[in-house]
Amino acid sequence: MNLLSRYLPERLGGHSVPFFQPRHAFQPPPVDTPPVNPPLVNPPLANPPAVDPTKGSLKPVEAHGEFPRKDWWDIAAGVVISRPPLLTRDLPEFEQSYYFYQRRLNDRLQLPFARWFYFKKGTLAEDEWKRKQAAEERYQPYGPRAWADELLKGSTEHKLDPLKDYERLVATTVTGEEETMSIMQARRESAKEAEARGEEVEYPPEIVEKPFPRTTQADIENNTKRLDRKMSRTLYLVVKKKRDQHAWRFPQSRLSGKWEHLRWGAQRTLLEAAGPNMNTWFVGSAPIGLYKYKYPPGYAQNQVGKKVFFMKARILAGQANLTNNKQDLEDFQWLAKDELKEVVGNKYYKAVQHMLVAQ
Amino acid sequence: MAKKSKKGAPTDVRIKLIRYSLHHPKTPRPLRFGTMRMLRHWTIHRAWKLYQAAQRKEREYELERQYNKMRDACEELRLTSPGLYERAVAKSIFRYPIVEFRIPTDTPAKNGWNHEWKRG
Repeated sequence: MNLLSRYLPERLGGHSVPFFQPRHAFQPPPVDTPPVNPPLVNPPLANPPAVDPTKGSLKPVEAHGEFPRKDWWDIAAGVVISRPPLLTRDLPEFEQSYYFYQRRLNDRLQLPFARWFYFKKGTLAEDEWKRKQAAEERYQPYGPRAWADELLKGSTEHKLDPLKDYERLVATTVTGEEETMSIMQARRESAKEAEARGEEVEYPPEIVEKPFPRTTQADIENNTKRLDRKMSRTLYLVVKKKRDQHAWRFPQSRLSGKWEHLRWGAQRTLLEAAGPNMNTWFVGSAPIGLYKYKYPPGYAQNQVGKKVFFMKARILAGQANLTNNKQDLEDFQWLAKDELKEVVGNKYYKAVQHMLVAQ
Repeated sequence: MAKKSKKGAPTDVRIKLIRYSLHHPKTPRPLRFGTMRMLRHWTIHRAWKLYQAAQRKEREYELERQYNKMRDACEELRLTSPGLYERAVAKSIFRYPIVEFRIPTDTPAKNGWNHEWKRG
């Protein structure tokens, strides 16, 4: 037996050697001596159940069959492709005010700022620091009003806003802009001159880079096809089939071919439905959820209904494209979990909701 | 390394900072609250603990629901098709870390989402 087959289970062709061998192998007592402590075993049931749960209740073992499968349920692979959040979550009001409270307490508990450590006496940086600290009216943890550290009613100081933080940072900390101001000015002027002459020029970036806002154009328009909408939430892809009722679904299709398993089926489904221009990663090969439904009577000869096993995938770049799709799809949307509820039917949502992430 | 002046006091500014924080008259710094202020502080602390416990429970429940859904799906798969089940639960030997994963940030990237990504 080679290195691999040692540890594989028997049914996959291995020898099932456990990783850890016990130090002393258990020696059962000889047969003629009676056992000292009888083993604790559940007594056999008086009325054993008619159906053996490990074998399934619908059909005898023979009906499982070899490949190709002759099941009584159609098996389909569905894809739950998600765009995980790109931004940290929006903090609710309570958390924002609590963190503000903690910041104030921290200011009071820390030692006063040791300016002499960071700025040498007589430098331009020290002058800039003194000017900026004096300019704004800020809470002084060591002054005469140190006791007034709580947030007043109606104040919005606790609200978190990256742009406001950036402006406060530029206004209260040393950025070295006085020194570099003239240099930046000269660079900008030379860039303008070069543009006037007709050369291609890149303008020099800002000294302290401004952050981009957390909401984009897609948020304002509520364009559900874009992937930069609701960047702090997880978005899921749903596609619209050409029918009146139950149109919006996760992409799915029946397993085709003799050797196709769930992960391959899901990859093929996504390719056929949404096109190749998506950089995706399928998480493992086990299904994350199941949607089972019966066909109306007379719909199919052998099959009772369909079982859709959903596979989890994540999109890393790209966009869905429904042109030349082989599944008769009209439209697609990227929706968060709560938006999904209105678009997809109630029954489908109930079957599917626990696979999805709310945030 | 350590520059010492003639009298023995170190001139290294980092050592000065350490001594400053150790021997400052306000070290350690206990805050003295009045009764009403203390009550407000206690209320905030209790409220936060409650809130955190509720958040933790919610996270646990969500994970539990996801796990249960997955377990039920795998069980159903096992009952319908043993072959598919085996291939679903088999552990793959080849596992690589994904380079393109991004962790959530406070503000978005300059280039935003690449909608024009093409395969190949």
